[in-house]
Amino acid sequence: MSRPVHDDGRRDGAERGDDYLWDREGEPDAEVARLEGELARHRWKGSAESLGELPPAEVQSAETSADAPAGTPSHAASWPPTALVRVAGLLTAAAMLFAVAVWWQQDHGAAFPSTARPDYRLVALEGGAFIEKSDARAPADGTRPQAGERLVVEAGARARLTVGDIGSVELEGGTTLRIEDAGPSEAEYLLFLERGTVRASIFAAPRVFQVGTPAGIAVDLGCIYETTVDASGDTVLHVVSGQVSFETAQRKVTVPSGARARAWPGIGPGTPVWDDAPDALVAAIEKLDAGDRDLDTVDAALAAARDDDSLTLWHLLAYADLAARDKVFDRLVAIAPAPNGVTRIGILAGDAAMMERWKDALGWSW
Amino acid sequence: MTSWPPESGARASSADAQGTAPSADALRGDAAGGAPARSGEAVLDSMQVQRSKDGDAAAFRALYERFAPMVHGVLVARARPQEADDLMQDVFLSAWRHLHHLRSDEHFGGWLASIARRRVARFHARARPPAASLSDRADGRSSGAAPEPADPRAGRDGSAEILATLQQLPDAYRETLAMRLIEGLTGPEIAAATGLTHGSVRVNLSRGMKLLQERLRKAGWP
Repeated sequence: MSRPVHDDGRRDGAERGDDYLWDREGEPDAEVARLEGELARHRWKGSAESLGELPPAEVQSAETSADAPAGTPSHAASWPPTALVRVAGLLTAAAMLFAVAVWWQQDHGAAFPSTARPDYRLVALEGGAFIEKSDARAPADGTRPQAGERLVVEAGARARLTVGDIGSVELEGGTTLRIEDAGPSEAEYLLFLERGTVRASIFAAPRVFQVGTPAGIAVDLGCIYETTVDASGDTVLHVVSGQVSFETAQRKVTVPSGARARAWPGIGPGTPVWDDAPDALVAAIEKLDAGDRDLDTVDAALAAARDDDSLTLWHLLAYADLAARDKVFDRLVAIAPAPNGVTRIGILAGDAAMMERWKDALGWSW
Repeated sequence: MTSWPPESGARASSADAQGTAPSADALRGDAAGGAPARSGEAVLDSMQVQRSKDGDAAAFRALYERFAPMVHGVLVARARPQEADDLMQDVFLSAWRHLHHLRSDEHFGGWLASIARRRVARFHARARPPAASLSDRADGRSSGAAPEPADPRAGRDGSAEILATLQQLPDAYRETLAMRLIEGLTGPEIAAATGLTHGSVRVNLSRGMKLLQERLRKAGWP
């Protein structure tokens, strides 16, 4: 019989040296440390600057006219008259659109999202906080960190990162947080929590502020929440106020105030539970999130669930096992009848529109 | 929304406690038998890949900063350090030129590693005289192995001896160990950069380390 396995694949009884080999945590294994010392001189020390000026990518060159006549100085000169007319039309339309946009902004002010660069400011509250970039480290108190920089807060220290004019993030000791370039995404402020604990207090439009973790992205829907990432990338998200959408490309869970959800790298977010959820329900959910497909575990979860636990039960409707989903449907419908247009067949088939409609009907109590 | 969870024991190691090498599925990070959920970091990487595909050089430089240690680990597991350094630029420029061939943005790390493996294999094929190649085949060496790994007892300095011994380990072990011992990446960072599961990386590190230690002891190391 195999030994129990931890979330990161470590088994009970694993040698202590394996922990150091895995993540450099704990007592350094003498042999591993010796080999690291011998081999570190071969480490890559270059930077992206060594790439020099990048040549045009193939996708760009494909757009250029490969069969343009020799000696043609530019694309414009070789364009046919009809193309020039089209371009002129487009430019006129763009100018009109810009004029309308200016008028609208004057009338509506903040209706337009800010296009300014994200503005962060880091303040050390206790102990040391640093900014790291390309292996260089500098004290960070009062600085304005930029995209690509890491904020490192020493163990026992504490720091606060103000996020534009929409709120702040407190970083606990032992935290490493990276500033990301959000690029042309929906997020204006994008951070990545590599390790440690942050508490975000954000008051902005939904999805403007997002925190990535190794296990999923916490998308702010206007709230206060705490996120902790351990050495293995396992993540716990706890929401104090408002709501957070905890997402990967495959799964999206809603975590309202007073609830929490765990998440694992390569797996994504698990099922959210209320802080005061019965212990038996929490235990059953942990088993199901870990991959337990025993219907008895589903029965245990349903038996322990209160009517208030529709949050957890709705998320269980996405559970892999059809028979389990059938049981969850019965329990959920007993708490709150399915809205018009939401059917058992549709829910069991995973109809996304029906799932959302039922969530909307249940969500008022979340 | 996909069904949940991906598979029984998906959070566990994909290799059994006493088993042999991790399965091919596990090495692809596909222990669930279906598509694994993507981590937050992977989603951000995908954003940078997409921007790079659109010709954004700054996004590609960000990918370089993130993936360079992993790529160098792949190279230095097969080539001399100076050769590995020289090949770095080739690998990334090749990736930049052919990025539009990458079908799944989330597989960028694995795709980049395969470019590095092909590039270093081609480097050795060009550098190796035909006679040496025949000799290697007679020795039963694989074509992807370092062409002329140093004999650990040949009186080189300690660092070179250890590296030469590491380069003779099976692919999965030498790459993972190079990323950990040379590049200084942690297990979770290796998993994130390569797309391997945590369980697979842990198995590769643990078994590779044992094998490396055995071979070093045989070579006369204390």
